Amino acid sequence: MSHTSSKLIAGYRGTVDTWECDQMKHMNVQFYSSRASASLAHLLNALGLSPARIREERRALKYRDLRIQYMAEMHVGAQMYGVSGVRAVKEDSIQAFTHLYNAVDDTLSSVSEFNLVYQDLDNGEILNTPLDVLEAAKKLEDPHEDLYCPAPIKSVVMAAKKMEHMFETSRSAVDVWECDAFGNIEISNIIARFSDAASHIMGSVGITRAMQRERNLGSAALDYYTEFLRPIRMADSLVLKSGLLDRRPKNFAFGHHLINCDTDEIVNCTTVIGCYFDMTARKSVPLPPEYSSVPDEKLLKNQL
Amino acid sequence: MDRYFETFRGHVLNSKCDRMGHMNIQFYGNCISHAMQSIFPKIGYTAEHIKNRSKGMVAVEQQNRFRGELLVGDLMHMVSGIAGFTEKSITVHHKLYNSATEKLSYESLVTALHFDMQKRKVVAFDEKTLSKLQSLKLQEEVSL
Repeated sequence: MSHTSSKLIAGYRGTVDTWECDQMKHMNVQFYSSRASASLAHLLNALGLSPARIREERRALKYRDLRIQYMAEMHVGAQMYGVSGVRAVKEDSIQAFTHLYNAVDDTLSSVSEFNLVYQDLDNGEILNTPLDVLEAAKKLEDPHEDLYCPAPIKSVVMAAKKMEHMFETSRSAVDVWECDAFGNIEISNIIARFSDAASHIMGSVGITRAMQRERNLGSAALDYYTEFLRPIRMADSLVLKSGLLDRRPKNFAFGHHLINCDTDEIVNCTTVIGCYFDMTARKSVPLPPEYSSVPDEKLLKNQL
Repeated sequence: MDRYFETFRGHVLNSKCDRMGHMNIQFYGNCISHAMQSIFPKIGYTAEHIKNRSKGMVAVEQQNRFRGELLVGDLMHMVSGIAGFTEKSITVHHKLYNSATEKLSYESLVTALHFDMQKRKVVAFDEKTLSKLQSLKLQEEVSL
């Protein structure tokens, strides 16, 4: 590991398992998130929020918003490690990041940039961050200018408001085994729902699985921006509504609203940018022509 | 300690805990699986090497000592070293720590055989690998 600094916290090390790889023959996006969550837990410990303290006080720093970029595919058997750091201590949040690397050649595989807020883990209420945690965060604070930081997202960003032309891409309840010790869903299980939704959105554009196989096309997420608007709790009844936000010559943008069926509230609002790639060459290719056939008025960007 | 490598780092998910309120023993095995795969590249067995040359490892013996429970949310990391080897096997010593308290939670000695993944037969390491194993072998004897 070449990325060492007294202000970088080692947060993850492990291997890509076969059962973490999807039909695109690379690690599915949800498993980047589970690794990033492990790394975040190590960062919190460095800020004074040890597991024992979190269990006792039932409060911790949680993602308010999260940007994820996927930079390089990870294949089965790949060795990975992750580090986390604090970029800035702000008035209302702590801006931090997690980088996941291929351990064999130190290639940056995924970047998570996020803002953390201190929350009651039972009801999601946002609280003042304890002074000792803020002091610890200031000691770790560093812009880390030598480490990659994503530029602003190259897409229109979804808004958390009801829109036309969004349709159901997933319906589920939050299972016990999807949650942490406080009954809150693990982030990887949110990302898993967005991953599953992709096929349904592509289907709405007119691209079937058979067509993808015939054309030797894979698809991959490149960039996520997600906002955590309300707690998602054990047994919550959820519906995911999605739509085509935008299209470009080589990229699509999908918009997602995760909605609590009992309250009808949008609990998570997410933008996903992705691409198609040649499954053999592992290189991106232009969007399939079916995307051009989608009427412009159906693109969600027109409602923002 | 300088011949031990960090081979795994993570945390205990709620979904890995049993009705005793701690990480179930099967998931210590998951840590070992990750750690073994982190050791292999140290002796030249990267994922590419394993795929291209169709040579891998198969665990045949494991001794365990559970020394301290890990609770939900606990942070953990594992360090591992080559405790011994023969022309056809390696034995790896793994130590899993609670990262927040630095207390040893678990240790294990795992012996794995080198095998041909197509013929499914045990085969000897080549000289280069044996030399690498010698350079990495722990200088102290390990027993649980």
